[in-house]
Amino acid sequence: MKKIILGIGLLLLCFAMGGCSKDFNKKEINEIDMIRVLGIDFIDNQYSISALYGIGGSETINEDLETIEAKGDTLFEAFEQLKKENKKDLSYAFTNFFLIGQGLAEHGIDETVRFLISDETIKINALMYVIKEEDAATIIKDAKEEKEMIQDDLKTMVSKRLDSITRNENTVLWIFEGIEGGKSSTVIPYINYEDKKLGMSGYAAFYDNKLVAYLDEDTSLGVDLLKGIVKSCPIYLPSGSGLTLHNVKTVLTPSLQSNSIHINVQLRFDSVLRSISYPNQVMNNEIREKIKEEQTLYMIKLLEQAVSASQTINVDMFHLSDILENNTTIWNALRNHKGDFLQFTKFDYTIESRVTKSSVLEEWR
Amino acid sequence: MLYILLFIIHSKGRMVLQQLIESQYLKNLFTKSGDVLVREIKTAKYKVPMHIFCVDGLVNSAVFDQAILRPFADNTAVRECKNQQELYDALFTGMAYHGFASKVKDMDQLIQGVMSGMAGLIFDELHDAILFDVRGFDKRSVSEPSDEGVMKGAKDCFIEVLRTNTALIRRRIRSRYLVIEQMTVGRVNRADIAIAYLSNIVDMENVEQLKKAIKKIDIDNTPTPAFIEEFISSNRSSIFPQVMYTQRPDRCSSNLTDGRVALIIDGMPFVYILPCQFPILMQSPEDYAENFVIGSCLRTIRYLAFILTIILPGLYIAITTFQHQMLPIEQALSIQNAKVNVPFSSAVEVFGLLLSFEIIIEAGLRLPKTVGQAMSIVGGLVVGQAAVSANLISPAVVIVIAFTGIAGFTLPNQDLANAVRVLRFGIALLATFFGFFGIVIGITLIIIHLCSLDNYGVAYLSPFVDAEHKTHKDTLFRFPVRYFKYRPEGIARDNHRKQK
Repeated sequence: MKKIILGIGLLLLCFAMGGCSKDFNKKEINEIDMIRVLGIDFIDNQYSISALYGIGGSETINEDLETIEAKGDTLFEAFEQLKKENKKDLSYAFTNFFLIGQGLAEHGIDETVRFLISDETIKINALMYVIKEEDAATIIKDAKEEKEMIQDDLKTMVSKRLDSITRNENTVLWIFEGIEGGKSSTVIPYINYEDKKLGMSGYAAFYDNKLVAYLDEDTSLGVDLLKGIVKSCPIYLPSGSGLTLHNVKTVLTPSLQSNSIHINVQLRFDSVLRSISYPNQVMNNEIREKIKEEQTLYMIKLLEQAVSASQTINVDMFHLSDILENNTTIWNALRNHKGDFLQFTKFDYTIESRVTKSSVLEEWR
Repeated sequence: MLYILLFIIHSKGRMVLQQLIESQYLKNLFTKSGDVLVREIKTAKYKVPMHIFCVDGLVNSAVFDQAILRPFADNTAVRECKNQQELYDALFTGMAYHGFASKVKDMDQLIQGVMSGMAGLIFDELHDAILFDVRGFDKRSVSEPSDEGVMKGAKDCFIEVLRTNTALIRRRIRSRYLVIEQMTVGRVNRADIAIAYLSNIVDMENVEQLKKAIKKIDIDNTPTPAFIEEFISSNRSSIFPQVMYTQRPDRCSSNLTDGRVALIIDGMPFVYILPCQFPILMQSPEDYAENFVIGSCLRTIRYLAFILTIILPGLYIAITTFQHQMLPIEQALSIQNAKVNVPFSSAVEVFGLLLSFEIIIEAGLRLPKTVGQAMSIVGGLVVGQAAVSANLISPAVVIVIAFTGIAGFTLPNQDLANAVRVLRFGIALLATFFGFFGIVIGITLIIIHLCSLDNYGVAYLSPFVDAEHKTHKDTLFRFPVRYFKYRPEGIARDNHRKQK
């Protein structure tokens, strides 16, 4: 008897769980269109959504691409319009990339992120990118016309980027958590769209969830170093030597000194020498020390560049507030300056590095 | 009155008048049966009469003539017997050239013995008889097992004759503690059954419980194993097998040394092993014939196949109908493309193909061997190729169901494989309505059911549900033999250790 009751109870649970998560609205896989890339723009005070989805599969080498666009005064209206205009149901479960047009970035992304995260079918680890000085709809339209597999291009770019950094911090979930956590600043990678080609350069800085500036490559590298997410990256010293960084570790230690915040940035890394500009191409201790010194100065310059950019546009790009929050003394001292504490923060840098030689530069015997 | 009362025996709730041993009674009883012989013979000198009672075709005539009838001509002691009592004593004490002679208690036992192939000598004056075991009916030779073949290992298997089977077990276990108790079952067919166990290892409670269950069988005939299985199973309503069977004497002896009980039935070419747990149903003789690493890999594959064969159809339905996001995009597009012209939903495709698969299996069982090969080609072509070309089903479903079927065939125990065939449908049905929730609930219900099964005092999922790890050495992985120090938990209560 108990087993029968338990069995019935579990089956009822099925009903309850299935109903709550809308699973009773079942749809066959061939009755949906799977959106691969979604572009969101804000043009003429209206939200404009453009979707790129693929059809095809085993019989074609590349899938056929289709696009669809819709507008609305609110995001919800735009999304519903998109669903209405498409022949089949739309699924966002396969959308790996959300492209934010320049207009929307300037208008503010918080509403967009909150709306996206409220849909449980959307992948929380889908990536968001800002399109520099362009609308996302343009990229999507061009992709269809040129039959460019931008979803594959974006995937490749992400894969390449993950060779350099340890994690992507521009996932929908990460950005949402930042907004919900009250962080007014964030950085999102931006994409250059020139000559119908995509290229990733650096970060777009957001203050109060609105775009304020685009950072160049070096400044973005500095931001990554301060955030401690660099895995491996090449650097080019002014003297002409080239090195690859790895084993990068960053520690930011805050302290309160004479009513101002001091952040000690300790950067530790190993670098492999890939090319040197000296004529004899021989690695010895003297050259190694020279390069190390040069490298140290270069890294300090990168870090200073990032810090300076951060202070200039007042965007906490490297989540300094998270570190300061953990120190109650400092945080209390910032009572009246939580919005502009960066202006009162001083940075000093400690660089510890080792230069190792690669096989190219072994001494001739 | 007293005479009548003394001969009244209370048997299975019915009062039976005990018949005295008389040849005339047998002649009347078997008058219409041409193969039953009831013939009078007499000694040469003093013409002492007695009757032969046997069944033509069941006795070995040559042995009977040489061992039983020849002493009447050759043996002086037999010739000199003046009455039936002297003749009875002489023949029973060795004057007949046959070692396997037994006294008969009553007519029932006499008839039972003769119907099993023995020959009886009836002494009407004494109302007594002697049974000689001169069985010589046609029987299959001991050959290779059809279901449990191994590359390295013995190639003998049990046959339909009880005595041969018990001899096969005795050959493997030459222990003084091996006990083979005999009983009969079936009111009409009176099949002989034997219960084998090692008295110094087994839990006698299990033996008594089994004997009790067998004695409770009150049925005319037991033509198939399922008749007896239902009576000796603890949980008759469960589709999971409660009793393991094996064709291999080595596997039987291995389980006997673990403390289990073997049930041998005359007429069945296999032996039942009790108590049965789920892990032993997943064991194959091949695991022990190979190196422990290979054996462990094979066993792991088998467990994986067990899980896959149950949930794969349901998984396909759930993914293509409810949780599309589980699929990689390329796979999703491929399936979408394949299903474009298919008019049926994923659930209909899966159920249709599962049903076709079951129909083909059933047809294959009934077909003569000569036609079977043609059937398999037709089945493969019709289902695989033609149905896909006709857009009745998509290729992905064919692959899913084919893999499901193949995974099911990896299970060593056919009863378990049959149970799994039913479970697949259940899980697929739950997935049709509830998606992944349905699959999870289905699996939960199956696990709850398995956990609730109890087999002669031992949990069905033992030793997975046991707290101690020492008996886990032969479950999911097959550890080296030196780790098999202990017998399975709960089976051999007193004699746990089997290896130093």
